[in-house]
Amino acid sequence: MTEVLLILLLVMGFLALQVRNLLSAVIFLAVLSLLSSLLFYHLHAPDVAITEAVVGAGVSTVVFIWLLHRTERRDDT
Amino acid sequence: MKQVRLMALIRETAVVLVLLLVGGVVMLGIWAGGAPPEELREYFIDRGLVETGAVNLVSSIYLGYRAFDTFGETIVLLLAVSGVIFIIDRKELTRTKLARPTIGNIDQYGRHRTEILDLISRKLSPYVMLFGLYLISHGHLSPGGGFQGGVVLASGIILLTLGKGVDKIEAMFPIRRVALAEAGTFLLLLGIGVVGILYGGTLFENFLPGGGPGDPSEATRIPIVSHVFFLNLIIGLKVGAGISLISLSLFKEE
Repeated sequence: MTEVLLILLLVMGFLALQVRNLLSAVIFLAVLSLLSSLLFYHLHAPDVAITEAVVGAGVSTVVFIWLLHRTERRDDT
Repeated sequence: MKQVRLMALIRETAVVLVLLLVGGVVMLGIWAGGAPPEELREYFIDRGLVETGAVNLVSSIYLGYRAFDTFGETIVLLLAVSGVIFIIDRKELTRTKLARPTIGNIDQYGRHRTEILDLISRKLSPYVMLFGLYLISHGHLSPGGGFQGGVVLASGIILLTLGKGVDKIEAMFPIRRVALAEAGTFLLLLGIGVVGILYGGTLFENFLPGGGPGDPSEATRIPIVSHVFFLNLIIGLKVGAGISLISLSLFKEE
């Protein structure tokens, strides 16, 4: 279970770096946060899991999407 | 064009190499470090409940034994809030109402508004906030605590803002008052720490007249866990006010 979650985390991080549409990147990051929250829960750290789910998947996604709304949607570098 | 692509390739390779190097150093540190010391672990498991009264060992450590670190974390949040307020124009924050009214399902920013978001956010956010209050008030018993509960509370407010628009929510939670709550709870936390110094000689010493959780001698005594409980309550209010303040001012700025 731990190994599967860790590999999925790597995949999500790679996708978030590679994808050109920044909104998709933000969503990949949110999924990464959710998966790592699952990982923390699996490793018997429910307090950290709650924090990761709320801050990583919730509030920071909102802040990132607000930022995208103010700037560019695509990464053209 | 070809040169640009080559430069990008070199840069990406360099980034990957640096990341691998950093990861390798961290992994070496983990492998070479050996098992963590067991004395503290045994001590917290044996004495944590008796000395702080908190069933949730995590909150007994971070509020009972290491409240100073938690205090530092609240300072970090205070700095983040101050930074946002400093960056965002102050005239924007105290501006009252937008001139353009909502017409039909086009909102005052000219965006198409759907009823789905409106309805779901309105129905869901009371439960989100209730869950936040539960996390705060049961932080000494079950997983959760002031920080997590505060952020959940704030995300309930963010959800409402997404549905109803920032102006209506700002009428309910005026930014000036939220900022006052943030600063006031920080001062309260500081005051509790200082009272701890005056009472017991160390910052955040438990000054409430508490016996142990199973202490039967005086039934009127405040249980020893109330120190952790009140710290959770204050930190929850502070974090909730701080995150709401950041997001409200971000939404208001657009």
